Amino acid sequence: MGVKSKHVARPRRLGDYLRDSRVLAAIAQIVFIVLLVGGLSLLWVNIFNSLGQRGLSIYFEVLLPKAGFIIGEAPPWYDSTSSSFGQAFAAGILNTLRVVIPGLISATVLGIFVGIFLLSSNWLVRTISRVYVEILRNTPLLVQLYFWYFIVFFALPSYRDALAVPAEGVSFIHYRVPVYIMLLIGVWWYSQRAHYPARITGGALVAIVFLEVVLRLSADWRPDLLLGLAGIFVVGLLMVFGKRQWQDFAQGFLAIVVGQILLTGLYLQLAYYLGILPSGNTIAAEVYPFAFLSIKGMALPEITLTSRFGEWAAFTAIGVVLAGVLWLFGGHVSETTGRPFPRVQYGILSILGLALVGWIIVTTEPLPAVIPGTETTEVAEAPPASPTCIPAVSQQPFELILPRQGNLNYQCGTVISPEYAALLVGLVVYTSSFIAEIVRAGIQAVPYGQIEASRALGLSYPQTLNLIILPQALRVIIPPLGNQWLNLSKNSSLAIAIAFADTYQVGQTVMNTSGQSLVGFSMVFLVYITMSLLISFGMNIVNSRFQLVTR
Amino acid sequence: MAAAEHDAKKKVDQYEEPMIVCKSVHKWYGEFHALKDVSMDVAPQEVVVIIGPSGSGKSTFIRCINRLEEHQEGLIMVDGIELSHDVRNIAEIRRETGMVFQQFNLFPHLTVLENIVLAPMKVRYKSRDEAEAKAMQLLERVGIPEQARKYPGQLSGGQQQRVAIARALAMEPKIMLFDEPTSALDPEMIKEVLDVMKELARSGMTMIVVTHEMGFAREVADRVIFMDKGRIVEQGPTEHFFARGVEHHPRTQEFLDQIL
Repeated sequence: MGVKSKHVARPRRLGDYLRDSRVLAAIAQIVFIVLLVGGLSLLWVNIFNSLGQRGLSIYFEVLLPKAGFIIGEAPPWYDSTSSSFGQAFAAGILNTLRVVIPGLISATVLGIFVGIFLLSSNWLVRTISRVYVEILRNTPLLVQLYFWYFIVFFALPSYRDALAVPAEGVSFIHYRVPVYIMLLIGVWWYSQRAHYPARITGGALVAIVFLEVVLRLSADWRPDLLLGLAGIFVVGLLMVFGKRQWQDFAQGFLAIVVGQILLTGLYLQLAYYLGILPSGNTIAAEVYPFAFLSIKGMALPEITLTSRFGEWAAFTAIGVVLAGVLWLFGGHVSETTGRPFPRVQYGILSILGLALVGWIIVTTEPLPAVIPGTETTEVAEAPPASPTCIPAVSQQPFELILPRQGNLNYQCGTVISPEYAALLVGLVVYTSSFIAEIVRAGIQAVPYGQIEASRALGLSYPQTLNLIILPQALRVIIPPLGNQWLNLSKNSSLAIAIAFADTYQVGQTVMNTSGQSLVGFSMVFLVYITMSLLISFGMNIVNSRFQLVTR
Repeated sequence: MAAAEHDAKKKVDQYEEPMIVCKSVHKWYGEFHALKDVSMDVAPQEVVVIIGPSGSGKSTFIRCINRLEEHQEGLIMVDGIELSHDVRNIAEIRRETGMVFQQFNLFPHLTVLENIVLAPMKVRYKSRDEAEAKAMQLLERVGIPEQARKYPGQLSGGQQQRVAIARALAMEPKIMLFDEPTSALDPEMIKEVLDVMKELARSGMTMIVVTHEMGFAREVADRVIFMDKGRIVEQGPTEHFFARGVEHHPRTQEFLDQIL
């Protein structure tokens, strides 16, 4: 009290101002700004002078001259003799994006699954995913990249012995197999309305084993028909007199046995009628390799659009629009009447349905009539055919082009280089282990009382997950997930270790070739900063939507 | 007057089917025998208060009634539906029973109104308008209609617990289970929650309440059950249980001496 009056009573002097916290803060700021500006300008003058002496430029015009070096996996417009340094950079950026975008998506999906597995009640699942996470989290990414590159993708066979998946040949499928598949889908569909779906599907699976054993034991149709009937009789007895669980089981069992006998009979009748009965009881199908694996990379199928694609896409687009309308309409219906409206199912159905209708309409259109005169001249002018991948005429909106093995290189399809594969797999697997831990922690951060309250209100488990657990878990998951996305995008610069031509690798080459290191580094910095800021920006928007309101 | 009417109603109900039937219910957590041979019935509109020391199994018992915990032996029937492994029966029973927790367990990412309308819309398929009208009515009943648009984190403990009661009532349950509803509250807020519960009891709701509030038990309960070490040690009508000079089981007497 005394202290206070002593200081307030007399007029303020300079010393008082210097002890005023607001004045002190202002002085500190001024000093800081002076130091910062002074330091930066000193640095700038220094760099400018020394670069000038060594003939280095700080202007981006140094990116204009021709690059003159080859970039692995460059886009077609890049030409090593005529393209500039700037274009080389662009090719590198494209390669970086080619890794980062699919990398982010797959690392997130994989991480979510592993994170959920970490919480599994099954010991084996839980332990395997725990080991996966611990191994990947606790070893350096660089080591892992080398591992994927040298141990996995370079251990593939040489090009001459490339692994074909599946091997070329003829595959035989017994005609019972498609019938089984149809029946199983039917049984599964039906069992979803029952109290214990697992009992019915269990009965169905046992029935398949039963029928197959019986059919293997008997050479022809007749005796097994009898055995099958005996089986039906036994199961029928179970169904009538048995306990509840046996009745459920018998339903599934009977559905398969009766369905198989009826449908196979129907099929054979139909085949006789049409005169297309296959020799033997099998459907033969020629099988072409879907993919090739070798040290030269992986050859995968490619989808090529034909001139009819636009028409089909229009149909599909109508389906998408219809799905959108159904989504809005369904939301409105369930809000106002409370009636549940399966808008997801209807949406999928409308998209698939219109795509199918479009496909049928497009593929049944006749091929354009060829005018004789034009045809001959074209053929005459065309150069001798190099192996063409795309069929000359196609009735489909798009064609699936399978890869083929040429003498020296893969033909057709798309080829993924071992470098690209190693980098992508390495980044995805490494980052997924961190994302898995984030997802696990996020789910565990939701108090168990929330789940209990939701269940006590009568909400089902899927509803609890969607409406209660996920919205609260995402709030915890999203900020650290953003960090992992940043990590993945920045770690992609380790591509240089396995000679994948990403932004940094190209940047290095540009700097070595042109000698312009300042501009080179600036470009690299700019690319990564832009990418990181874009990711952060997106994450901040998402994050702001999940924050809790407290007071 | 209201009390007399209430009593009259109860006498009629004595002849009806019990709302909850428990016969020889046993529960184990691993080796630990948490519930031992618990048997009791609850009549419609009856208010039962369960008291007992912590760890006596009283919370476990009422959590078994809506299958938040699974009992391993014995029979539980709620409103004529057997609590079996059948998911439909479990869902049905959960629709018929409302539960109020010690820690409120409101959904923090939803507003008060959204907390209340969620289950009626998603489980009972009510329209939003209908569910919201009902929710506002319930908020009036628990005395906090002005808080409808706030988030749970913005409310006091007593207000949160009243929202939790409204949320359970929105499903129009036949039975309400209260698991120590006032144990996490400041003394000042306990009264506002107990008042809501008393009003609910007088309106004829079937209730099972696990609590330490002896005043509440004395005023509202029709029957008091004392549990210890997973067993029902003693039970009786409230007037009898709290009457002077009644011969209690020694364990009950010990507990009552400490608490009263």
